[in-house]
Amino acid sequence: MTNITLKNNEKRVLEYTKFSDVNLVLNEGSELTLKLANFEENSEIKITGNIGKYARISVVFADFSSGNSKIVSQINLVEEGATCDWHLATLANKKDNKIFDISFKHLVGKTTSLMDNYGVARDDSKIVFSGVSHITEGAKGSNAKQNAKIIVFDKNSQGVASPILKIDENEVQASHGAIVGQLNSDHMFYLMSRGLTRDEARMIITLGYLRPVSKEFSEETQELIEKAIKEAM
Amino acid sequence: MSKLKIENLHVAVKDKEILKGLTIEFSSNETIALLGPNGNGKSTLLQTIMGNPNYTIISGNIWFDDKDVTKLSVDERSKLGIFLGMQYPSEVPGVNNSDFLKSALNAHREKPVSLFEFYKLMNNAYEKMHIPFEMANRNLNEGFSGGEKKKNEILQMLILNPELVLLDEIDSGLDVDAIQIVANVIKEEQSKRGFLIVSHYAKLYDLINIDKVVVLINGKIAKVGDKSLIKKIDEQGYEWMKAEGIEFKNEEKMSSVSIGTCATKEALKGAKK
Repeated sequence: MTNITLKNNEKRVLEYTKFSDVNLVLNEGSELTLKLANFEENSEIKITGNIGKYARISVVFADFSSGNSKIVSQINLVEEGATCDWHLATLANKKDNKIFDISFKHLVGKTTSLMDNYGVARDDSKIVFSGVSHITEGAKGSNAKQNAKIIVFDKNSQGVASPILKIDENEVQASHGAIVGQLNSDHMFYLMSRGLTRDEARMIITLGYLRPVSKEFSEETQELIEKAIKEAM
Repeated sequence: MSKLKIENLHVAVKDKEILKGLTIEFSSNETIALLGPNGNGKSTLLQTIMGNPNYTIISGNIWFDDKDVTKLSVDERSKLGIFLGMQYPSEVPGVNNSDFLKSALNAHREKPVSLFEFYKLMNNAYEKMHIPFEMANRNLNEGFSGGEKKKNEILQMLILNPELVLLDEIDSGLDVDAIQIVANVIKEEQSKRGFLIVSHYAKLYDLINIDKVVVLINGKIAKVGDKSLIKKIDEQGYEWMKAEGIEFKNEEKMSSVSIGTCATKEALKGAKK
């Protein structure tokens, strides 16, 4: 278990390519950018966190694990003004089965959770995006956004995007969107008409699709990510 | 010199036959203007040559010299030297323009291009097209204006150096200055490669050399002529060809419902059923 505690008004940027469970405590006014890149096999990871007054956490999660993975995250926004920005990108291939259960709990008012999950499922793999953004009673003026997008590449690839909003208070902002779709055939035709093979076109589309997350990492990690994508293709 | 030979080509889109026995030849040392009313098969012809999977060849042949193009994948056709400048270029999210161009260029070469050589090529192409070089770092066509996308198509042509270039309404969406830029580049390139150019406007054709004018009506070549034919069509349209016995597409019956007036009502009626 990795414990990360930020003191009042402390600001930190942390990047891990090897990690297990993570527990976060952000005290008043602190800011953390947490970059996690997962390349393990059959990983089970739990992320928990309590975000304090006007504290802000940005999580950037790049998942290139293999096998059966289960990533569970529960981040609680416990004091006014607490904010969590969550970005996840994952690539599944072969017989991978990956579950991402990403939840936020708004315990008081004026708290924000923004979630963006992107996935690419190839071969016989499966990606599940689930989780609950819960705005509890009394959390007036809170804002919860959920975005989930999965491209399924092959006939037997599966994508399930089912983020849930649970709202127990009025005067809040909440939205969610989920898209599961096939590779855009116009894009494929366009790229191939310029000489890229089917595999090259798929790779360039995948790299582009996962770029919003991968570009946040250090150059070293970006190279690992690119390598992982190329190996998977 | 290379030659594309299309023989008695029948092509369908979603079970509807669009090309109905089209025969045409196109060499890398000529420029052909391809005209015809909307919906008669011009884009279908171009897309079929490039290999768009939405277009099904029912019968007929497409030869590139002695190679059977219909048996080749889209990328193999590109590597053979065919280039299609599209009417609606795709916006591909997250794909960097210069990374893409480099991959595309390397796909056409045995040895990967050196950084220096690539930079020189790019710089030269961007300058010719009057596109700011910073655009190279934007995502492929993402957020480009209609005109920028079209100019980016010609830019790709310059970098990939194809033998036979198919341009599908490359001039639509271009402002007056941009048409001039595109026309200048085409004119300069005409000695190096063949062009098959679809346009509805005489303007672009006026600015370049045209060897042959071909009119496509109802899925077939209806007429072949010289540049004067463009002028006549520009002034009089296509109707006069009927008098010459050219068979036009059967006008489809207008639907009884027109969008914008009572489409919503009709939809509601349908829902009640």
